[in-house]
Parts: sequence; structure tokens; C-alpha cells
Amino acid sequence: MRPGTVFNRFTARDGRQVILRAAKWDDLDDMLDFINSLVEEEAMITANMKQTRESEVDWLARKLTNLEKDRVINVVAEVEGRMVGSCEVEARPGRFSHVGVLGISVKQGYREVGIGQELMREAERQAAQMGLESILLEVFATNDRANHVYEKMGYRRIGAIPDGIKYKGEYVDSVYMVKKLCSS
Amino acid sequence: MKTLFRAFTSKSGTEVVLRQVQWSDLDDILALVNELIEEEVMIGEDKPTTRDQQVDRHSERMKDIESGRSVVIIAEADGKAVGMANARKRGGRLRHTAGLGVFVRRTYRNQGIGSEMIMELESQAKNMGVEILYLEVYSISPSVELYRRLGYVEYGKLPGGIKYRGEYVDMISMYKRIAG
Repeated sequence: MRPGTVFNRFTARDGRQVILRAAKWDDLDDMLDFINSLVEEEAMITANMKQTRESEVDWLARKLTNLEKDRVINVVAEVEGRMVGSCEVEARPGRFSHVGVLGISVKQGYREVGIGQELMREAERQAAQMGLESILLEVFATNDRANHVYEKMGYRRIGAIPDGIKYKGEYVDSVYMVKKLCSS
Repeated sequence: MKTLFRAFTSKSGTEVVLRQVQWSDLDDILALVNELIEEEVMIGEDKPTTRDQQVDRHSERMKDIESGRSVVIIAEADGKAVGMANARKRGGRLRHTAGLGVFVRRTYRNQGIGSEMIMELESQAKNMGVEILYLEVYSISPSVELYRRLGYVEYGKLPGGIKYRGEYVDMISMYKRIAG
């Protein structure tokens, strides 16, 4: 997939115009700002350390390389010219390659208006097109909002590692959910 | 220099040394992995790997060990690497957990070498701050029973998570609390 390819446009529930597209090199500073804002607010994601511009450059270079080589599905949400959310699906290797692993995050101030769901729908559509049969994701057991959205979108729980996450000094279960994609 | 962890005699009388992986194990690992793939062992990989690919993986492996992210153990017998086990820590808020992988060459199986490697791995992972080890295994694999005996507990199952010889096989996830 070519970086920057536009997939879709829609109006969020708060009236803002959203563009869904593949990430591009010019997103670098938005992405750095995005990940660091997630770390700052202690969002329920794996990352808990701020990135430097240098580490973000390495990360984006790797991401765009994988995108160009079709090793990964990447969809970002752009609002008012800024990247405010991202969803990625990566196929597992070898005999697990019909299963993709999904990760998603939306910036504070842009949540609860349907952007996350649209990001996921677009990523799922591309995943099905690519021949993936199921999507696997991991979520904090205590993230009620995310658990609710994933369930609503057809994901179902297949297991959990007890205390698999340490969050704000407490142990949290790491829940695994899966969704079977409709074959295209 | 080779860092030795432990030496023991296997159930069938083979002298086995558990030691740290070295850069020079590269070609043994390449041969071992490709032999397993050829044999259609129940691992993730299904295509023979090139030396080029193994060089990249090996350098990642060595880097991960040096940075304290991974523990890797080689089982050496008859002057060759006949098995490998590794535990790799996850990042950020998951860094007290590590994914475990282990394999043994065909002719050296069923002698307890895998179990010895896992036990050694557990004690070293614990020293590295790992509290939970987790793994994935084919539901039809005899290893499920082995992991159970070693204290691993099933925490999830992905129906049809594996395609093996043209059939769907369930993927079982197991974990063991080793500290904390």
C-alpha cells in the first residue's frame, strides 16, 4: 500500500470531517505528539514511555517500509489536517498467517464520536480483502469502554492472562478477543 | 567463551550441556530450524529459512540477550546444538511477562531435554524480573501434556488459529506464574 492513500471520508458524531488514509512520512510530528500524549494521560495501552523524535523516526521508517511491502495494514484518521487516530493489523507468521493482530488508539479529544469504530471497520475490510480470516486483539480487562466497543463490533473473548498487565502499580488481566471475518 | 549453565545426563544416557547461545551457533540453529520445518513439526513456521534470514534473526537474538530482553538456552549434545529455548519479554506495561518457545531435534526428543531447558529458562527469566511466562501450543500436540506437568495452565483457546497440513487446528494459550 502506498503511504497516504485515502480510503474513506466520513463525518464524526460531533460533526467533524474525518479522512481515513494510510500513514505517510509527513505524519511524523503528529505521531510523536500522539504517542506521547497517550503516555502522558496513562492511556490503557502497552506503551508507558515517551518517545524521542529520533526513536519515532526509526519507528515510522519501519512502519512505512512494512506498509510499502504490504506486510501490514495501516489506517490513520485525519481531522483538520492532523493525525488523531491509528489502527493497524499485522498477519501472524507461518501457519498462523490467516490470523491478524489488531492494535488501535485514538487521541484524547477525538474519542466517543465513532472514529475508532470506523478505523477498525476499514482495517477489517482490508484484512478480509488480504485473505485474513480472523482478527485477534488484546485489551485491558478494566478498559470497559474498549471492551464494550469490541463486543459490539463482533469480537468475543477467548481468554485472559491473569495479571498480564501492570498499570498504575496494579495488576490487570490481559484479555484476548477474536473476530471471524466474513470471507470476501 | 561459552557460559555453561548446567550439565546433565538425559534419560537415555546422552550427556547434555545447557549453555548460553553464541554468535557461532548460527549455522547449527539454521540447520536445526530447517530440519524441524522439513519434518513439519508443530511450530509456527512452515517454510525453510535462508541463511540470510537466520543471520537477521540471530543478530536480533544476540541483541535482545545483551539488552536483557531475552533469555536463550542452547542444549548441546555430541558437539552440536540439539535444542533451543527462549523467553522474550514484552514491552511497556507487559514487561513482567515473557513468551516462551522451545524445540528439540527429533533424535533427541523424549529424553527430558526440553523440560530441563524450560526449568533452566524459568529460573533465569525470574532473575530478569519476569513474573509470568506464556506460550502457544497446538491443541493436538503432545507438548500440551508436558507443559501441564511443568505447571502451565490453559488461559485461552483460539479455535482454528492454526492451519496445519491443510486442516484447522485450535491454538491453546498457556501461562505459568514464576514469581510475584
